[in-house]
Amino acid sequence: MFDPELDAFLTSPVMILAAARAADGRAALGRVMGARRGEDARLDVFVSRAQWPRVVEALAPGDTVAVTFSRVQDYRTYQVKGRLLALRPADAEDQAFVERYQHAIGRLLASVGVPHLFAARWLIRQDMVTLALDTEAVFVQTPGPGAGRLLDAPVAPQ
Amino acid sequence: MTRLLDIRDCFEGVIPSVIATVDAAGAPNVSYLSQVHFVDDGHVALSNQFLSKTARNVAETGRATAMVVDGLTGDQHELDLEFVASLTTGEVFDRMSAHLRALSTQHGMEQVMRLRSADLYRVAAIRTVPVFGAVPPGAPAPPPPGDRLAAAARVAAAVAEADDPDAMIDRALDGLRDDFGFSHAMLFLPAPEGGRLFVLASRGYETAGVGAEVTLGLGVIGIAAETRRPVRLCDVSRGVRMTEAVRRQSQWEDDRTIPLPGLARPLSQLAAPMVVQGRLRGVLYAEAEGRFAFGREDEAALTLVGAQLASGLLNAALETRAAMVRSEPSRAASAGEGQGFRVRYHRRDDSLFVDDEYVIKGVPGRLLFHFLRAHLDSGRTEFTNREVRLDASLRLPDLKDNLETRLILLRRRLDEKQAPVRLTRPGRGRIGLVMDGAPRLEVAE
Repeated sequence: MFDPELDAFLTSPVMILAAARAADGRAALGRVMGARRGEDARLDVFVSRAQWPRVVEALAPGDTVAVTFSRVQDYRTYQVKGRLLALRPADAEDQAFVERYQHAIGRLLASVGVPHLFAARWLIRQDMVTLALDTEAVFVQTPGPGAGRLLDAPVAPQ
Repeated sequence: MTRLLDIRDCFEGVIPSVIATVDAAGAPNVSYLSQVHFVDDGHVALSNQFLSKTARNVAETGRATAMVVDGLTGDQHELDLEFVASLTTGEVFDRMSAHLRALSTQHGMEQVMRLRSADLYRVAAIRTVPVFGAVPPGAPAPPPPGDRLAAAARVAAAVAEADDPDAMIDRALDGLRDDFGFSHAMLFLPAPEGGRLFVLASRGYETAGVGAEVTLGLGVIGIAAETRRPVRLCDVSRGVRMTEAVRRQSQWEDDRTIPLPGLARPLSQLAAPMVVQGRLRGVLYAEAEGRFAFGREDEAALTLVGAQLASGLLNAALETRAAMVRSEPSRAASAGEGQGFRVRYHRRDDSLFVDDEYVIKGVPGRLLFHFLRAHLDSGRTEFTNREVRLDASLRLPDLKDNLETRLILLRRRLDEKQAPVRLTRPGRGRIGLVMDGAPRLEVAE
């Protein structure tokens, strides 16, 4: 599922979104402030509970989380589906990781002409929580004919 | 409660939207979406292109959650959506289809994205996403557009007051500049051979580019022409600008192509088709360097001005055609005092070069060569539209009402080139030939 190239992509400054099933049965979504790869299929992602309460509050261990990673420069996009192992307040190490992500993606957005006042609204570090995920599948989602393809099973539908 | 009308700046495609769904078992899916389209205060529409998993989830649950971003402030809003219907015809579908095609052809994509359906959703709830910390205030709102309806009425009236086509064209473009503040604008007319449109007049560019062409069905102008729908882009991305740059470069390299004027990096583009009696008569186009330069009201206003101009041009052409102007060839030819000039005409594409400089091709090239040869044969310097139309040797395509605009194109192109041969309009339905010295004609294949 993961290879060094994909790992490098997921942890580079890319725009990240998460979605889960909310309490009312609808999809809830939110922006993710960085992703960190762990051992095997482990992926930690960080979400501001203050800004995106619906997606965070609905989650319980065992739930599925969808996380989409998209590179601003060329729209290269992957969607990761993972099972939630744990959800906890971000610790100091997580906070430092999120801060580094915030600076890196902020610089990147500025370099492609996104006004600072936009980035300031999107990149929020208030009340961060860490979602520990066990990755179950990765899909190619770059717009075009290959969109929806399972990364290591070229013909399987998403 | 926030209304859709309050957040309309989220629906211009400036910042990508996001759509999240769950399947029947509750598994989520999240994907970027180029644009959520505003339909009315209770509804939005999403373009169904290749969002297969999203489409399946919506089919199972009838629901989706979207995030839209204000293109002026960056503010984010979540929308709870209830699926209503998949539209494959009608106003909403046509508008979205034209918009999508304009975007995809501008991006230089090999395959033009075709809209399968416009999926209509009722908006059940709008939640504004909170912000925290020291967030700078949003960009100041763009200056109020003023009363666009009144401005359109003023410009349309000025066009209606004009009694010859040149004045109509100039008043329309001057009006766009002075009453609307559109400092870069062009008027395109369809080429009679089909498949292309050419610049008849422009404002705001270093060269007017009269005679420069765009392809029907490509880009904002070509799509507006082909679909007869206005197309408005509020933030043309970097990829588009790169494609444009490549296109402009290649145009310069062809010695029979007039470079298309245009801003190097227009972030805002607006094209409105000019339609009379169900036929495309032209396209009015405006562009600007800044984002979000044109709003919905500008789109409507440009369409109104374009319709008035198109009607005026059509009426003038029909009147000229009806007028029985008798041919009274003037033999008192005055060829001016100049050294004379060389004209090379290529039969293959009717392209015409004066002193080795490319002037024009197609019907206007053929017409100019005809006038010059007639002048050398008989000394004439005046012609009538009527005789031109009836002259079988000119092999004119079925020009119907288009001869007049072909002549305007030719006249303006010669003026722009400061050519030693010019056309005048001594009276309705008449064409005057003015030369600085005597022409020497060559014919090539």
